[in-house]
Amino acid sequence: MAVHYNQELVAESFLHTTKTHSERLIPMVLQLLENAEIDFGELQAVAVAAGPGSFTGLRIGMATAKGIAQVRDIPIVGVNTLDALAQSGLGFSGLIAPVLDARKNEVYTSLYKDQGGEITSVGQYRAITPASLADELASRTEKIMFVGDAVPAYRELWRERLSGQAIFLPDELSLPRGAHVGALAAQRLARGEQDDLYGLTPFYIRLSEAEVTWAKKFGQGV
Amino acid sequence: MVLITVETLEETLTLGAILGKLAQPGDVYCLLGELGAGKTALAQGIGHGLGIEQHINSPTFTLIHEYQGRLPLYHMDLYRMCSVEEGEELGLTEYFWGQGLCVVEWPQVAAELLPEDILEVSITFRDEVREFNLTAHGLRSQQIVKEVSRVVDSKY
Repeated sequence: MAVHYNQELVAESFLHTTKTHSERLIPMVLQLLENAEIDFGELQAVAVAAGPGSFTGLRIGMATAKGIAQVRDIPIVGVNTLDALAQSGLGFSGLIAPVLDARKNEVYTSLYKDQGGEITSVGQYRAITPASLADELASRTEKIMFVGDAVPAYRELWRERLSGQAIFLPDELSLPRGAHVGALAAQRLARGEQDDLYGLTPFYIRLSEAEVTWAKKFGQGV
Repeated sequence: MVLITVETLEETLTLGAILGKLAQPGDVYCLLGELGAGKTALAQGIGHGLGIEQHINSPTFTLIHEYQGRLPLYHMDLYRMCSVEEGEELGLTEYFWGQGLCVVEWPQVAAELLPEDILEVSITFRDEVREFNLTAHGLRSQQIVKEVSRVVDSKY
């Protein structure tokens, strides 16, 4: 989470543990505001990472953000988590591939490039297996920077398939940051954009169209 | 595939306890069978096997019950769940791919979200006799089936 003032980052805090975060969320928000010496009553907008990601995590974050926005009667802005992650690639000349663990041996991903100092999308949000992603990227000539929580699990596979083409940002540069969410949200607000408090929902990447039935998947067994 | 026939509730609970003792983090047991087949009774046995003292109730109306034993136990009944999308939004994926033991009654609608390597337990019954058909769908579940077979053979 982060606090921005006049589009400048003032304070940021971070927690990455395997334990549930929900209990720490509100205390951390209050601590952050205290550190930044900003009163809760001075908040002018709330930004929230809207997904893709863990369903429960997204809903906790969104409910908290909406609660704050409603109580303060201030605008709320949702930011795509992959967009926020991609900001870590500023200055990189190749393709930026944020990758988030989607369980089920899949990753949430999209593609971006730094175009004139601004991260622009050059792909589509999707859920895909790490192997399929490697196959697709193998045909590209640019170097590819992988960033996100799926890197540790699939780094070896991608390194094997893409060798020198692939670059992996280390853990401390690879996690979604409140600062990036805030920066992107500030840009939207500056353009006069905001989301509807009741209409804003987490960004879920839907399951594939093909229906997977029990019989199809588990018909055979030993 | 292993077929185990039982004739009393005691035996169902004993079988469940064996499955509970064998469970490792990430295991998923899918229980299939009609109303009254004994799915929840088996789940109760599994709970005992995990050292859970709390009474294990049917999650027909609540969908998911969580217990803490040797492992976290996630006992689910998806009978009332209408679509796989609903299951996604409930966070089932995180349970199925987590570090506890999932025991899922009426798992069919969630097929897409489940890992491949589940232990399938199909229960059929006539009068008081129940047949538990254990089917493996991967290496880990094959291991479990083999172990259950070994323990049951040595007991009877």
